[in-house]
Amino acid sequence: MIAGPPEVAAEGLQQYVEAGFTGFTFNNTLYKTPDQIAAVGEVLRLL
Amino acid sequence: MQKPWFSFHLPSYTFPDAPPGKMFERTVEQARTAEACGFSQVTVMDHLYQIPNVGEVDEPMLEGYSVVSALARETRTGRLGTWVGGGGEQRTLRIAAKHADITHWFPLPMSDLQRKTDLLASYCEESGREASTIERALGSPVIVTRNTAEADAQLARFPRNGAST
Repeated sequence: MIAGPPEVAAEGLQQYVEAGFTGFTFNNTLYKTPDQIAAVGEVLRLL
Repeated sequence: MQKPWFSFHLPSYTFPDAPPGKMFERTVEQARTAEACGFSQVTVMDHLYQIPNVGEVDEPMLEGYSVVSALARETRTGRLGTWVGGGGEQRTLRIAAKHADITHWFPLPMSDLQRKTDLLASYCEESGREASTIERALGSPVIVTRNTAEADAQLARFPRNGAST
């Protein structure tokens, strides 16, 4: 498991994207506030 | 390579700072925020009781299909589709091969994910379906934080998972 700011998270997801996984789910048990959700949105823009 | 998409998943309707009467209001707030941040899907579980590792069995819940319908009214860009969640190799992947638009697995080591991908392809072949018509999605293998301190705090919850920042 990798944890970090959007740049780190995007880098961590890259290998899965390259392996053909197109979707990723993020749970509201971990991302509760608008800012936490927005941080995930930043990852998407980096991919 | 296809541009990836994100789904905001709502397994829980428990908001410590909101009473049960405000559950749906808060759920809508999260769904709208996710939509505004570029998520292309909002998903729910069809469980009537909360499951272990998410919360307590007696937590207040909302019925999944009603929530999906109501969120469709409250958001603008969501799409409907059939997910088959789980990577069980004897039964679940066969069901996914027949019925899923999207199959959703836990974030396992790449070798396990590749084995499941190969199995899914073979089950698709048995069903006369082109495997590429099923999208493969994962529970996120990364945790997104704003800084390293938050990252360390989150990883402390997964002490035996080979976690790293």
